Amino acid sequence: MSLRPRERRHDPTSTFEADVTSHRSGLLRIARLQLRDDDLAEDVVQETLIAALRSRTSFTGGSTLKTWLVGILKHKIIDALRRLAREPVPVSSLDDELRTDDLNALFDEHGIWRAKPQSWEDPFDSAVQVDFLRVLEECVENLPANTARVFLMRELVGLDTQEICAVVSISSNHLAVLLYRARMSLRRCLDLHWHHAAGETR
Amino acid sequence: MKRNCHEASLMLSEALDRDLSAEERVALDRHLKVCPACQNCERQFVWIREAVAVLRDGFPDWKLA
Repeated sequence: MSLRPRERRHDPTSTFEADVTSHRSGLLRIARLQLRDDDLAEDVVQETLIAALRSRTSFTGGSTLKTWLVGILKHKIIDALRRLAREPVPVSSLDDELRTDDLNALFDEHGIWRAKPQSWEDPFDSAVQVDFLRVLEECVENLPANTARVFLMRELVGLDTQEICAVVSISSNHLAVLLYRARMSLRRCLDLHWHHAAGETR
Repeated sequence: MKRNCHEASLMLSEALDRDLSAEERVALDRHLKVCPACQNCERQFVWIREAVAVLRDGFPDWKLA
């Protein structure tokens, strides 16, 4: 009986800690995708979990725990991206990604698609969704480094274009080229490895 | 000016990041109306955006290999 008050005090804390920690692998997956560096991703997730446990009183239950943790992770990722941006980027790789010859080659001299985008089945149909997400993740991992970084800053972290330009120090025109390259490459990659592959097995 | 598919696909990407001008919007819509390939491209760009959001928010409900 004498233990009861202590149990009451400690139980919610340890449950909260366990709940937070249970999201570790999911958070790590997001961090790895964006940062492309396992050690850095581990660090960022560790910082996220520590921050979450420290500020547990600010978790009001208004959102799900998962959403709250992803919110903290986003800030930690942005901090890491700022630190990364201070390191010199091999200029040649960015120059290559900003060249548009390969994108122009997707169209004929009249600007018409050489290979027209085909109609896909709805990728959010429950039967195919997991497969679509798996292929998409692989396609993102195969994007060139700078292209992947800004695309994920836009779509995964949810920054607007001005914020991205400020963090990575590129012009808005260059950012538009990289985002176009990312979307066109992912579209083609999914066409090839998801849409056509699914067609073959049907 | 009638936009071709190359310009239209560029506009479709930019439309996901900024507000197009009224002129750009009209030209893009005019092209889309007659071009099923670019309609597919538009839908696919949006699906890609939505799917990345699922990768972010949907874990760990999706058991990805």
